[in-house]
Amino acid sequence: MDHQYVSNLLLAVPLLPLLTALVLLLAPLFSINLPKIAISVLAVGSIAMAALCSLLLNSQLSNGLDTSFSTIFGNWIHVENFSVSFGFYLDSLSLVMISIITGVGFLIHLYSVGFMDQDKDYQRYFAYLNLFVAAMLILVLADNLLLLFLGWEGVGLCSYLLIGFWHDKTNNNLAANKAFLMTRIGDTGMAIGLFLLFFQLGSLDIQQIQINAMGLWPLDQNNTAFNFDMVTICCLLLLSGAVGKSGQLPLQSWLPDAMAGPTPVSALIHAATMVTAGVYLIARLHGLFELSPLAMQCVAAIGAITLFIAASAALVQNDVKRILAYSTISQIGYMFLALGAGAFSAAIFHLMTHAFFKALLFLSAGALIYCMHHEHNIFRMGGLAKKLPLVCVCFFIGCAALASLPLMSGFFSKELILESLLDKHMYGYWLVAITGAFMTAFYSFRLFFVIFYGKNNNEPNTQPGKLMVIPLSVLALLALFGGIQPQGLIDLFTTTADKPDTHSIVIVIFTIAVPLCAVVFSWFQFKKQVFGGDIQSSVLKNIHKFLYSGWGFDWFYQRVFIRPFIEGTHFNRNDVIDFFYKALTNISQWLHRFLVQFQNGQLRWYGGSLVLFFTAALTYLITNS
Amino acid sequence: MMITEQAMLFFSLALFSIGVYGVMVRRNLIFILISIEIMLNAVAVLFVAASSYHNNSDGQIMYLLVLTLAASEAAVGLGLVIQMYRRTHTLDVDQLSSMKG
Repeated sequence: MDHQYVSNLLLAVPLLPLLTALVLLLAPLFSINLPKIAISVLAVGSIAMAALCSLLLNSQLSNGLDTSFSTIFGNWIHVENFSVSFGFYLDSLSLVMISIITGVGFLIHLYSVGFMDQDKDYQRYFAYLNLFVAAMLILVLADNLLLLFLGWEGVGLCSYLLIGFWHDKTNNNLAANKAFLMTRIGDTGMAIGLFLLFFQLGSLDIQQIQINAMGLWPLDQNNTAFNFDMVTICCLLLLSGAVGKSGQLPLQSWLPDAMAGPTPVSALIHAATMVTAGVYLIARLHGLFELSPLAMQCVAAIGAITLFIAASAALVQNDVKRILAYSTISQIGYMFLALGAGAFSAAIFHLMTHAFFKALLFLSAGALIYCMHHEHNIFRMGGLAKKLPLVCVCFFIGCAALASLPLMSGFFSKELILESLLDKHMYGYWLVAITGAFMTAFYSFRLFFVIFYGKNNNEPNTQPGKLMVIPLSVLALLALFGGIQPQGLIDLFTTTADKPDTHSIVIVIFTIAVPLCAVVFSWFQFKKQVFGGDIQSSVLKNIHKFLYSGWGFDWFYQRVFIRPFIEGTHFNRNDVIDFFYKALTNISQWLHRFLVQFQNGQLRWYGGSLVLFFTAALTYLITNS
Repeated sequence: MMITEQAMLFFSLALFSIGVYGVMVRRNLIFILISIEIMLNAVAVLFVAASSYHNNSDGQIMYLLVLTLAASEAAVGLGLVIQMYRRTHTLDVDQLSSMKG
């Protein structure tokens, strides 16, 4: 492996989108008007080049004997024994990630050229999107946690900017603020976790941390009790960052609102890449998390609860993008569950297939919305199978992969997660996961049937353009045949995986049969016109309302955090601390009014007071000497 | 005839008091300036008297210093007074009170 060559490639991958983003951002400042075609070529071309570079890196790493490669481009901070460098670390995990980011990113950029064609802020859109890709690449390539945190905050910023992209609508800005603030809660925990890790281990280098941690906090195999020790605290703090970014319980409520952004943004940021950053973080630090059984248990529990709550909320939504958003939360819940079970390679595998089929679903949804006069409500669509055949096929492939029907890409990854749960004897979690799988298949085919079958309510006014069709087709192929687990991932995490048991054939058939049953069940419910119909029973109506609001988390947070805070601020309207400063100004003003009388500008007064003073002073001196 | 030290002291004090009185009660800036000159000369007389009393020439040298000081002070003061008159067309100190706080 030629060191210099690989190092240059590695540097080019995040730098190309970054430079393009800077050009697109700064050009208006120097009043350079780029023509639309130039913007498209720059934006899409840079991601295409980055994708090419990561393809070359793929071939380099698979040819070479080394499994990892690290390179340092420069020093960032160096203070006494605290040293942070601009260094990239490439192994099969980050390789899979950069391939997803640049590959899916390229397709979504291409799609955006068609989708955003009519938008007046074309240049700003691509500037933000390229900046996002650059930040995400820095996040996954960073060899130390501080550089990772830089990318982490960078993607958060771009997410904020793109959710509120159409900023002339107040609701979009509110959604952007909500996303930013809720992820910030998690990030605060993560930052404290970084401080604590450095304080304890004296390094922020990812590999060094894990080696040091193994020495400092050895895992006691015999001790099965869950200790709340230092490593657990560090892991839980990092987990809070991951939870915020990945939309997991209890910080999940920003993700459905984040759908206010343009649909390709939802596909790239809020489905395929950014929201999976939390999964990446835990997989990247798997050596640390494995030292704390309690933290692993927390990861699994959060994943399981989230996947159940989000899947059940997705059952009753009527906005196509909100359904997909809840489904994303639920699928990331699967990844967290797999991480918590120690099946890191299965989690990353699911991350990969999820990126393919969820990007496909979002882009098809975008094409639907584009062709249907910006209609989001699925009950105002219907019967579109004949009208938009290509979108229908793509949507079907996406739904099938999401529902993990046999031989789809999602099937292999979800099966792997379910299997590894059984391997670890986590039967309770397995039960939750299989229930979730049933609900997933049910809501995805509810979505499909309602949009593409039944009676036609609304005519499409246009067909998707060629630039939108090509990425859709490529992603459809990936969602169909992308179910091949990268060999490098299995090798990377071998030390952690147990040898696979063989399961009884009944369980295997059962797990395959569950989604199929759900699809059939969904078809019969659709035929009976249950979806979108009126609900008679008041109990069911309340349950529907409860699920529709995403288990009432927004209501709960409003009551528990926001309202008391606002009341507190009202109570403290006349700032208590201000009393002191107000007294200070009052005293000085009073003194001013008193002393200004002596400065009357009359010369004879000044002279008189001079004489008076000197006479008095002399008298005093003479009488006392 | 010898003049006694006491007489000199009283003479100087009287002269100084006249000057102070002039500064305090006069309205016209030029008269105030003249009063200040009188005060300076009162001090100068005291210097000379003290010098002859102590048989020491320091006081007389000091007198020369005060003389030059008085000359330059008069030059600067009169210049300022002329400027003041040109700008405000008055030399009444009661009206010249724009520096009040």
